[in-house]
Formats: sequence, structure tokens, C-alpha cells
Amino acid sequence: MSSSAADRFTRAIGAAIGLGLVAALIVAARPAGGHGGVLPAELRFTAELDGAVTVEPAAPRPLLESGPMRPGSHASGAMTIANQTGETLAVRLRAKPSSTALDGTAQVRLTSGSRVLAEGTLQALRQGSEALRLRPGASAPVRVLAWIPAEVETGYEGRQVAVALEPVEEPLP
Amino acid sequence: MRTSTKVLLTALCVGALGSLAAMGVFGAFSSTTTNAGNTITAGTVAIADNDAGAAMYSIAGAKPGESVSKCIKVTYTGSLDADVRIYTGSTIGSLGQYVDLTITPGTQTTSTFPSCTGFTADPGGAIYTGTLQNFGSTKNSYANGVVDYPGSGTKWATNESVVYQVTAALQSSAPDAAQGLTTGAHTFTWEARNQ
Repeated sequence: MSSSAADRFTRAIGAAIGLGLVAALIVAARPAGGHGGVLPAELRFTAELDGAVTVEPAAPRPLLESGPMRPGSHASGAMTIANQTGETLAVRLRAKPSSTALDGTAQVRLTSGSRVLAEGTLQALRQGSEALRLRPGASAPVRVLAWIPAEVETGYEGRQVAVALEPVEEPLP
Repeated sequence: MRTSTKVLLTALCVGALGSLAAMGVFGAFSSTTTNAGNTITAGTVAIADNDAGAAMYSIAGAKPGESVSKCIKVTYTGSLDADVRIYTGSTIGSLGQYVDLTITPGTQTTSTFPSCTGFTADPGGAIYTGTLQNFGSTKNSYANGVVDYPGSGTKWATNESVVYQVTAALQSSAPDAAQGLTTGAHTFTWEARNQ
């Protein structure tokens, strides 16, 4: 091999090594793909009882513990709510989250049987669900479904929110 | 050396000396430590019942020997352990001396105010037995109210409840003078205070 050919060969090897190093650096510095590299969200729902209605399970026992939630994750729980008064009551459930961290991100659906009492953001549930009509001594199951929509990209990372569902009653004629 | 050069060199010397002086003044070592996140949140005392605003009893035209027995469920939902006492702040009318009142704590499988179906009295029995008038005169504030706790406990904790059976009876020995008298509307109060 002539000296000029050896020179060209050495330069080519050097260039290849340089390019390889650059490529390795780029790959190493690339942000993690998907949602695997970020902390998940967590939701915990409890239900509060009062004198007029009783709930099972009652706080501090949770009715829903989501575990790690990322976009696309769902979690569900259930409770029973019973009217202890001698009046027919319209009972709404109002959310009291411990923080606003997931207010606009987490979605919640409350159902009783086939009836949807509430569906929307956690923030919307602060205003209360539709009323559940309970006759004296009657009880009804309420199912809670919470999820983070798959299209959410940010705004949930590492956020943990405890949500207390508070019954609000109104006597019906 | 030209004058302008001398001025320039003088300015440089002054600047350099000033910089050294500034380093001496501002160049102290420093270290801090912090204790963050301090907060105080008050506990709560909250008690409620299942009457939805309705009275336990309202009898018109009561006859001697007639009685009424109703149940009310009282639930403590505060976060602090509490004491609960029962009293009335009402002024009892003159029929009260002929009305026997009994308050018995217990449990109920399913409570529906004011039904006592399924009521089981606690082993200790009644916590008040006497006339309504006596209740009104001796149990008229938290200070002298009837003390009660769930079961055999010594405190009310979150979500604990007691069903009280309240029995009021117009004495069968009520005299003719009792005719037309009334107890007046009276309120039973369950007051909780943290321990």
C-alpha cells in the first residue's frame, strides 16, 4: 500500500469512528420514547358519610385506588349509598380533590346501574353529579371509573390526588 | 510617556485595585440550611343525625298511658376524637312533669329514621330515665348533658355512630289537671367537643 493510500485509509477509519461517536452521543441523549420514562399519576377515591346517608366503604377506607396511571390507564371502584332518613332524598355526589393537580387531566364517570350520574373532568365533578333519588331506607350502588385519556401528553406526571366524594342531600316531596 | 497613556494606565490601576477590594468585601464564605414544608392543619369536630329535619314525635290529643318510641342515628364524622353529650336547650311546657322520657343507646342493622325496627339496646341500658321536665331542668347544656360513647368506648372516633331510642310516655296516672297542657316543641341536642 502506498503512503497516500494508507493516508486515505487512516482518514476514512478516523472519520468513521468520529461519525460513530456522534451517532452514539445522539442516541444516548435522545429523550425516552412513550410514557415509560416519566412518573405515573395516582388517584385515590374515598366516600364520606354524613347523618342522612351512609356509604360503604366509608372514608378513610378507599373505594378506588388507581395504582400507577399513565395516558390510557383506567381504574374503577364501587360503593353503596343508603338513605337513613325518613324522607325521600335527592343525593348528589361532589368531589373534593386534595389538589388541582389532575383537575383538567383526569376523567371521571359515576354510574348507578345503567344511569350515568356524572361524566367529565375531575374539575367538573367539584360541582356535583346528577341527583340519585333514594327512598327512605333505600340504597343504591355507585360505580366510579377514572381514567387519563390516551391522547394526554403531559400534565399528569408524578401527580397524586386524593378525592373525597361528599354526599349532598336535598329532601324531595 | 504621553498623557493619555498615563491616564489610561492610572484608570487600569484604579480598576484593578478596586476589583481586588471588591473581592475582599464580597468574597465571604457562606452556607445555609433550611427546614421546609412546615404546615398546620386543624382537625374537625362534626356530628350529624339522620332526621333530615323531621321531628321524632309530634302527638296531638295524647291520652294517659300513651307512649311513642322513635330511633335516631347519630354519626360522628369529625377527625378529632370527641366527647358527645345530650341535652335540651328548650323550655319544657307544664305537661313535661307528666311525661316520662327514656333515652336508650344501641345499634340497628339498618337505620331509617324514625323507625326502631331492628334496634338492639346496649348492655348498659338507658342513659336517661325520668320526666321530660326533669330532663329539661337538669340536662339543659353541654356542661350537665348526658354523656354517652359508642359501645364500651370512651371516645367518639371518625364514622362511629349510635342509635338512640327515645321513648316518651304520658303517665297513666296523669291527673285531670294535665288535660289540654302541652310540653311545647322541644329539641334534643347532641353536642360533640374534641377531647
